[in-house]
Amino acid sequence: MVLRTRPFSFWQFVLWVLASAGAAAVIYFMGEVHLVNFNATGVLQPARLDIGVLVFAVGALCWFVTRCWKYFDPYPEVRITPGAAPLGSSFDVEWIFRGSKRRVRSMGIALEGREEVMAENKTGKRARSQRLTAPFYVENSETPQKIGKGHVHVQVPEGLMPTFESEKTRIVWLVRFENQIKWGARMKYEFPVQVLPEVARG
Amino acid sequence: MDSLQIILARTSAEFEPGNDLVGQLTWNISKAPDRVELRLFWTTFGVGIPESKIVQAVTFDRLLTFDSRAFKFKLPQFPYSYRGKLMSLSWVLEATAFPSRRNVRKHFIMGPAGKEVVLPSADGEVFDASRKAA
Repeated sequence: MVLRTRPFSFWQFVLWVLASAGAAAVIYFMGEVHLVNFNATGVLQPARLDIGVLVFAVGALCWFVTRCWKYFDPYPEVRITPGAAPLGSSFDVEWIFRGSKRRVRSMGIALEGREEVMAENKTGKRARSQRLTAPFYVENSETPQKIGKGHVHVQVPEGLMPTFESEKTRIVWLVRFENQIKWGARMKYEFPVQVLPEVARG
Repeated sequence: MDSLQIILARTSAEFEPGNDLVGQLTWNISKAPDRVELRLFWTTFGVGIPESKIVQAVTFDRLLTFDSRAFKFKLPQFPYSYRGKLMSLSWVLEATAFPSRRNVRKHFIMGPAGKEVVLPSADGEVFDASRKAA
């Protein structure tokens, strides 16, 4: 089972670039208008609406630029073999970072089993549906020496619940990737794995 | 006095996946029921929204006021009975007489070696994932 991650597609990236260009154009246009007025009158008196639009445009530009920047973040591509493993057995996790691998500073891999349930929060005026999660198993794998590409052997424990999925209650197992990158936020990825019931012995 | 009873062939209420669930359904009701339904299902309970799923069912009809019928279900491989921090899952055998809707339930455990799976509590608080997703 090969799992790919990517913050967003190339076309989404193009969209963010265009949005950034649009915000920059608004800032440039407003700056130019006020500069021409200032040169003519010697007074800089922007209207409140102009200030509001400018602040909004600067905020939007910052946000669009950070979105664009995320496109260049390194991201892991993971192969989990076999795709489904019984309790008590093990599976291999291979990964390779795509993108700017040199920006990956550190990484950690963990196997997590958790409960996920839909519940009703009745504390407010209206009952609100919420999804609650609670981990019941977390096992960190040894931190690999080579970060850009590598593999680890992950042992699935015995005596716990295999993957279970109903409408409102789920038992999920996942391989959790966490990595710190240069000039970027801490990245967290979760790759679900199918854990099967224990194979009967004897 | 009216009675409706599920009597399992085994005294223990612990079963392994794939086991046969054998027993007798007996009743003594003043008015003969039209039919009696026997359902095998799992149900969840805990802090989340409970749910149930019927796995097998059988209906007995042409009944007397005092009668007894044998039944046999083959238990599925999954899901196991479990007890977790948020939810628990239990297996149930339920008999309902119609039209009176008198019913009786028998809870039992189905899991590896006939034991309920008890989920440990790992580090980490209960997390409202829907708030993060919103």
